[in-house]
Amino acid sequence: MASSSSSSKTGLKKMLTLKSSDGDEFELEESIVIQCQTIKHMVEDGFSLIPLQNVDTKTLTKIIEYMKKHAEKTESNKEEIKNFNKEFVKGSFDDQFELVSAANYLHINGLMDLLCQSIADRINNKSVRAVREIFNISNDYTPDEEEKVRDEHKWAHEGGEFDESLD
Amino acid sequence: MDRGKRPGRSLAARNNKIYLDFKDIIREHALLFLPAKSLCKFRTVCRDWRLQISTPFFAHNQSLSCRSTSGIFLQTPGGSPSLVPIDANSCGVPDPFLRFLPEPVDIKSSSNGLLCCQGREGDKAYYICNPVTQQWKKLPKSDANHGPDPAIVLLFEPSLLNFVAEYKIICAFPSADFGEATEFDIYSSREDSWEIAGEICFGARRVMPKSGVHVNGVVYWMTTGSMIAFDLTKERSQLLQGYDTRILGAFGGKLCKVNVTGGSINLNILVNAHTNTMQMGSRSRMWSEKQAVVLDSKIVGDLARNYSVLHVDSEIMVVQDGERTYSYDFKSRATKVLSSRADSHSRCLPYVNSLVAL
Repeated sequence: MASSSSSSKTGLKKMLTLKSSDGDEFELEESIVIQCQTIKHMVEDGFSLIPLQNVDTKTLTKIIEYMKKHAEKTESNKEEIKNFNKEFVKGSFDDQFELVSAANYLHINGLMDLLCQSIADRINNKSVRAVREIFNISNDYTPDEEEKVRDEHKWAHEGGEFDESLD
Repeated sequence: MDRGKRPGRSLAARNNKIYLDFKDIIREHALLFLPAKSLCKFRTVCRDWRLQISTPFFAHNQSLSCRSTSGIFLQTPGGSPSLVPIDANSCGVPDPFLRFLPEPVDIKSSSNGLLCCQGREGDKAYYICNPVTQQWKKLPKSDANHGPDPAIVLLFEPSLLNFVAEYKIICAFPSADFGEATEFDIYSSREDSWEIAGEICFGARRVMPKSGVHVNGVVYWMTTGSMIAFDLTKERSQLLQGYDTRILGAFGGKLCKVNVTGGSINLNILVNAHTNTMQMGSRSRMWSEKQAVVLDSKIVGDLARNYSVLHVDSEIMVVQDGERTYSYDFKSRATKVLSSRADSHSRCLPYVNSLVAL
């Protein structure tokens, strides 16, 4: 404990090191990192070097960016955080899948909700076929079954032009 | 013993939440942010999705997560209701005319996916329904006389711990015993009965039936020349001045009123409900101007306008101009044409496309 507190400039802030699956290390204040439930539990168990074998450097950098911004959250910068969130969820589906897997593993609830809401908004208008492609889901219905399931909620397949694009 | 015979993948890893595939994460965490129509559409994606979407627990979680106004119900007096979705792809119900109910009805109030309707015939019974699942329930008759066009507000707040939807209905009705007084009748789904509150609001003239709004445990109605506030927890009422008010709404957890002058629409927030008791010359004001809304002239055109606001909440405002109805999205500031043939006497109710079970 003594060594970690003396390494920070103020002498008060406890620092932690996160290590990505690529072996890169990131030093952060504990107060920022405990937004993440998984790490919080490890800190409580006395760890100060935290290896994250499921999170690569690229994803971890993004997640640290998120945690740093959200640690600054106050009453007055709500608008700024909102804009940050808006920018944060831009990016390809693949980027979002990496992030959502990491957020789920790390238990960062706020980030999880942000990403899931964003993914939901993006697939909302998609056709069934497009959704299968995007998530790489194989259709395990027989054609007859699929027709039957479709007929159960026919109204949900009508009244709109569904988006076939994959981005 | 059997484990050794299973080929390939390790079972332990599959059952371990840490190593969840992103597909499973999406299914478990992202789908519940989708509105009901999209979910019914996505039942055909694969068996796992259908199973996930069909469970009562999922419906419960979806009603908690998917909370934005995704359409409006319009109804002309005596006509059948219609649903105008803000996005036709994702918001919808199987039968917007509500023909699954046992008789033709008037929609009286709407709250987080549930509708409160009143039958037109016989004893004018109240019904609660979810138009997506078409589940419905007939409410018991009240002892009070609510009058020909009751001022009803349905209150339904999805709650994590209440697996069964719990809701209340508040009706402001003219007192039978006192002239120019209003009483309050409250239905609670938990007790499945009506109870008249002890509170009587004197001096309140005719309550406007369509004006009721619920904000943070208080229900507000417009009357001719004023407003009534009824606090549900304290069961106390209060008369507020509000003679220039046309429409009330809930905006960011506060009561708001909208004033229209010519082509400009101004949104005001109730900041102090006690200005009438402040000392003389006090500078505290009842309303504070929140924002001015300017509809996109590319969509509404440059002609002289006669706006009337049909609905306002934190997310959208619905504005009528002649036969056209527009929606204004507070987040994206986008104006959209919702309908180009609306009757000016239409009743307009916000609707959330929820799977909530009754």
